[in-house]
Amino acid sequence: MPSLYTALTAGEFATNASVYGTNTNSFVLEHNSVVEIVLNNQDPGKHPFHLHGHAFQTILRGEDESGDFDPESVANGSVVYPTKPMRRDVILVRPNGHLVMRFRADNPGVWLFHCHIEWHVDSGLIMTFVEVCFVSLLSCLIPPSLSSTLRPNQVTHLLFVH
Amino acid sequence: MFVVPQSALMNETQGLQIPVQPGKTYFLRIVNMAAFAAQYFWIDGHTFRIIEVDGVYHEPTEASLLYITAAQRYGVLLTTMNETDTNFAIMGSMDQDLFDQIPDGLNPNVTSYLVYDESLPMPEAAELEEFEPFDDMELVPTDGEELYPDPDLVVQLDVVMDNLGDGAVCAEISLHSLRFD
Repeated sequence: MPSLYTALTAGEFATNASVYGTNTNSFVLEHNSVVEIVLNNQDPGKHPFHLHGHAFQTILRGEDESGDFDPESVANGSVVYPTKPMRRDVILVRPNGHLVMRFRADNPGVWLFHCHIEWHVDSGLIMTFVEVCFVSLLSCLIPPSLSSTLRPNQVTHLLFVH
Repeated sequence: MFVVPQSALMNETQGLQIPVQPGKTYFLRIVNMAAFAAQYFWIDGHTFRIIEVDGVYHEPTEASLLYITAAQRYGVLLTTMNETDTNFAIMGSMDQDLFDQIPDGLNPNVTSYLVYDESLPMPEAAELEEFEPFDDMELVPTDGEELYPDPDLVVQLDVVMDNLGDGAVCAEISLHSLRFD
């Protein structure tokens, strides 16, 4: 069941991340909230990460082998964030490095955040941001040609198992 | 094992000729539409000004070598020479660090041509001793949008690629979050 259709049909449950199933790695975002993504690449590979629906402010990128992001480095002033950060929607995270990005959840919808290497998407390097603003979502209709392929019983099953 | 591309292409071919006039400024839109491989991009004998990344305009910044991951886009202004007696190579070169194994005979490069004069010969592929690409973190957006205030929600993803028992590759993601109300 595509997460977008769940968001449109789950009513009051749409803001409960578990309704989207655990494999979607979903987070529900409040409209207009500021969201910070800290990405720790604990892998020796380079990964180009892509966010749908937004261009994020790219605030910090750690060098090769810089390890996990250390919030202490910001608190003690050894790392200073740029006042006018670069913005884009695909960014490279270095081997065993980290990235810090911020965006504002001002675009209602269901947005993926994933590594843009096709084989890594297949392997599951992907998560979902569900931005809810009910007024906008209710005005969105599922085309009849697609709604006929939905199986509502599966959605119900997911709701009550949790 | 992940598949390694058999060749690098520009505009779905190799040896593309782009005719230009001297002393003019061209807006090049560069899109890496690969499923996987990142490419280094440079134009022999020329620098260019980066004005846009992924659809967001930034203050013009001069560069001579780009590293473009799959799915990234760059918009650059290229000002051609006022006079020259040669054509120049436009190079793309796949980042072989990404390849687990490099197949014998793989040519990671694609050469196109900046053509000032069609009657002159097309140049050889340009070589670089080492790759020191432009760091896109240096760019400043033209709209001057300031750093967002402290976040309401921090989502932390720890990612690693692993191999399952049957050899299949699987991504492992640990997701943590902190909400500030």
